[in-house]
Amino acid sequence: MSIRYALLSLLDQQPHHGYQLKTAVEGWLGQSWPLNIGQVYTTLARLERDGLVALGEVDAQGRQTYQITPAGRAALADWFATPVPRDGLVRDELLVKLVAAVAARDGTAFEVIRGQRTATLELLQQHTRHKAQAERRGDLPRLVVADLLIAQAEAEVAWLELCEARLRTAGHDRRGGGAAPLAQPSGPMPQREGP
Amino acid sequence: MTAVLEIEQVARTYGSGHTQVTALDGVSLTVQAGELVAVMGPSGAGKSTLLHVAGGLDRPTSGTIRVTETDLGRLGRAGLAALRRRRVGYVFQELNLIAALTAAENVALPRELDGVRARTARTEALAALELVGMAELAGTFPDQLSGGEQQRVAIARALVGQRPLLLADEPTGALDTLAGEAILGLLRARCDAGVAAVLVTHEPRYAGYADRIVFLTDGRVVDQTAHPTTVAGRWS
Amino acid sequence: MAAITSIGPLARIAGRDALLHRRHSLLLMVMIALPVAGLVAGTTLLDSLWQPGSVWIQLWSSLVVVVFWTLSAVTLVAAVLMASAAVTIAARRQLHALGLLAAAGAGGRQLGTVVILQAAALGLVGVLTGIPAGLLLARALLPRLARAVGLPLGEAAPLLVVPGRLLLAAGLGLLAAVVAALVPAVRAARLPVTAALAAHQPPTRQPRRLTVVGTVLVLVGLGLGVLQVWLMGSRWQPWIAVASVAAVLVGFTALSRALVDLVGRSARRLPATGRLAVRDLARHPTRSAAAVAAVTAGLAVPMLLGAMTAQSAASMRDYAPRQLRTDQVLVYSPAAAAAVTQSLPGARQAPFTTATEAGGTEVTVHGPAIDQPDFGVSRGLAIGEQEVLVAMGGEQAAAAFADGAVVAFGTNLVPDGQVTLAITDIPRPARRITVPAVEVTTGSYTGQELPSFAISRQTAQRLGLPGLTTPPRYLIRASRPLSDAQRDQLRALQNQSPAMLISWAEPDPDLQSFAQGMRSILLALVAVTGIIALGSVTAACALALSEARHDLTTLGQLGAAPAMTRRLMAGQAWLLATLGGLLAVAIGLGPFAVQAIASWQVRPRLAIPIGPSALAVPWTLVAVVAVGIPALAAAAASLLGHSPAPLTPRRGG
Repeated sequence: MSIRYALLSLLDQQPHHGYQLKTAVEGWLGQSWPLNIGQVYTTLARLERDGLVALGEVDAQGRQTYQITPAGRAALADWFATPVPRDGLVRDELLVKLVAAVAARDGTAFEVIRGQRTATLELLQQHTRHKAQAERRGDLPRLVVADLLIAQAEAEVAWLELCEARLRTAGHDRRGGGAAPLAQPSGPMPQREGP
Repeated sequence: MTAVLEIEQVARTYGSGHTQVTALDGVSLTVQAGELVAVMGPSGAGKSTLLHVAGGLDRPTSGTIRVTETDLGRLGRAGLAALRRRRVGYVFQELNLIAALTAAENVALPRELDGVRARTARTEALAALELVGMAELAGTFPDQLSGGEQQRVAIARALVGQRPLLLADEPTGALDTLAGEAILGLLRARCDAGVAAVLVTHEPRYAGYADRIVFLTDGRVVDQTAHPTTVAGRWS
Repeated sequence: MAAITSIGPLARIAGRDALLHRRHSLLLMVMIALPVAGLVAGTTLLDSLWQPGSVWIQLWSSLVVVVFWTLSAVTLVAAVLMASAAVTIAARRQLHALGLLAAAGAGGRQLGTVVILQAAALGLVGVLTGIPAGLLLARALLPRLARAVGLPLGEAAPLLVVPGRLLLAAGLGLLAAVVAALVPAVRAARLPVTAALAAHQPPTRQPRRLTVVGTVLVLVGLGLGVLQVWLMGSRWQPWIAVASVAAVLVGFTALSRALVDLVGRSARRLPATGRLAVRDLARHPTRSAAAVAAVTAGLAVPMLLGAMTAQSAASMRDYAPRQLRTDQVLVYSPAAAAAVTQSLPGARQAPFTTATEAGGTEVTVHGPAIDQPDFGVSRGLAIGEQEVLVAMGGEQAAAAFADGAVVAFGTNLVPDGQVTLAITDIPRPARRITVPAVEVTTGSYTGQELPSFAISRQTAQRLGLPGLTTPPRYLIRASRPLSDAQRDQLRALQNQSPAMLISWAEPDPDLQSFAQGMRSILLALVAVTGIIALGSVTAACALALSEARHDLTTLGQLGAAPAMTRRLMAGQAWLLATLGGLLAVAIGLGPFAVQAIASWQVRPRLAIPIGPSALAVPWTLVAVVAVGIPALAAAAASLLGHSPAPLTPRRGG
């Protein structure tokens, strides 16, 4: 995922040099999104090429700083104003695993669900601890990240429980074959229009 | 470290014949001091029943329950009532407080029922309210408090007199997310201070505050999250 | 220890909870205050009218005692029932609070203590309200009542307040409150906490058991009513009578639950609104039955008093000892007979002799019942033809009379169907003949002017009785009782010719005023208890309906027009009041009906004649209780009860 807008928003506040940008972004997102400096410089070059960023001064230590241009500010404002597209396609290994287990119709699905649920809950516990720490330090960005992770874990657990309930109602026995098979998909899986 | 709550192979059935309902089917659970255990599961799985038998509000059909090493099976009604005054505190989803009493009087109630003099009981009640951040509203009546504030008072009442075990049945059920998280933060703080607590909830985000999450289905424990193995992974 | 030292907080909880739920507390308080007020008013009135030297003392001392104790006992029972109804209605609301207490660690005894403390406190308030109310009521009624009874007490009639009576009423009121709270307290102590917290109804007592208990009690009560007939005149009779009434009262109110179930099941045939009203009542059988029981208990007291009034008035008519009936005139010469018959339209004269002859020969009638000294029946024998039998009022025994039987006028004079004629014919030895006898059940003739026994000339001749040839007297029977004008006429006739002996019946002033006075007093008691009963009906219906508010709110949310909910409330009030009223009528009339049947059918061999108590029904009162009051309750409910708004604020933050 491109980090260009993250860089732009930092430059919008004040000029930075490359390494400053890397540490700042990592400070926000922490372990969720490790950056290497090469990625940063490549992105800065592209931004400069597109006219969104301009070269600034060279500071005392000889590092090149960058600064944002009016076009860059406009692009940034536009980015904030535009909602993030969510396409209908979910490329998620769990989804593949679960659908495959359901198709197998021999109760494997239940074990997949149970196992994933326990693992996700453990992850949830971990995220909650981190969130408590972030709250204690007053680290708002970290808190936002933690909330997202918790919400995602929550959503996954909720989805798993729903699947389990559906499977039970459809008569999918734990052992030895189910009753009625799940309905065969009649066409392509539903998806929202892409961006 | 001795366990505060020990539930061994407890079963609870209602009715007989073809209308028999099995709420619990051989559940075992141990809770240490300072531990917050969350119990999750689909509705009708027996979560509330587990909580009821754990504190003596209901008797199991079979199995043993020990609270701070006292076998509940040996206690009569009076003994169980004494248990609820001195060792165990309950918090329910809503309508926890007696409408006719102020917050402080509600919190002082278990102590007063135990024969403690009114003045002493009030002192203890105020201390408990302090712990939950409700000391200023000690003289208000429940119908003047918000849902979150009522639950805080309920927690204070459950803990007054330094009780070691707290049993909470969906305490956040009637609260919005922020208020609910505040309650869980409070429970977490109490557990970090040494209280053992069992929390029944159907919301994973609240279960996330627990040291251990137990999953009940059809009256049986089917899953448990692992205890964190590293120091960094624990709460306190 | 914990139980004792924690009375303080328990009392605080009981008191605060009572203040918080004002409507329920008010109902219980009213249910105690009303009976207490009634008892205080009734007994104070009785005491104030008990003036020394008045004719009342001799005539009705024992009756007053019976009325007083009956009123007290029935008031207590009614108070317990009404208070129980109030407690039952409030119990469900209290359930959750009790569950919370239990979860907070209250023991069973502590829970029960809260319930009883609350009932006792409210009972105390009820007593403190009821006593002054009763005294005020008595003060208002006393002048009117004194006038009706013939006592010249005037408008400033002094109210005689006996502290003992007030203490008794207070004690009964408190006792009733505590007794009413006993069963709920025990239930609270055994509360299945988990169900209470989930705000489920605890499993209600099996209706079947209650129905059995109720039926048994009613049967026992009616049986005691029969027993009371057997024990007529003995020391125990009043207590048995009271016990019988109490048993019937409690029994019928216990059946109120079964009645509500029955009504619920028959709802199918009603139109939609009616079905809804009935089903709603039947879906909460405990609460509805409690309201019905309260209404029943409240109305039963005036109903009983009213029935008592009717019965005693009827028996007054039958028992008043008299020499002659009000439509009879007795004369001793043919001339007098002619003169009198002329002045009275439709009169018929009948000559008869009295089976005595100059010289001391006479016939007297004897029998085991007749010979009892307190009887006072004249033992002479009248000899004459059919017309004398008719003139004496014994037409129904005409066949037996012709067949040779002695006709006796009285009740239970000839239990074994025969009499012994003792013929004293000095110097000959006395002869005794046993003759079959038949009875005309009516008041007997006292005094020597007109005997209570009649025999035909033919039979007298056959038996060789004396007195067949003595100068006859003439019994003249008019077509209707003599009017005052006609009596004045006879007086004038008598004054004109003093030698002409004319006897007729004057209305007994003492007896008349006694009868009227007693009627007035009992009616006053009916009015006093009736006002109180009305209060209980309104209170019970109002509360049962306010409980129904929740369902009615839902109806409002579903879009039912306000008029419909109003009609529903009126319908429910009407139904509750009617059921209660019908039970009250049954309770009021039941013991007397049994007594009437018993005295007709059983006919024990007793020395003291028992009255022919045909059941005298106070129809006006029955109509008021069974029809009038329900209509009033329905009207009140539809006027006063505004339909609840469709949006009710939910509790909790």
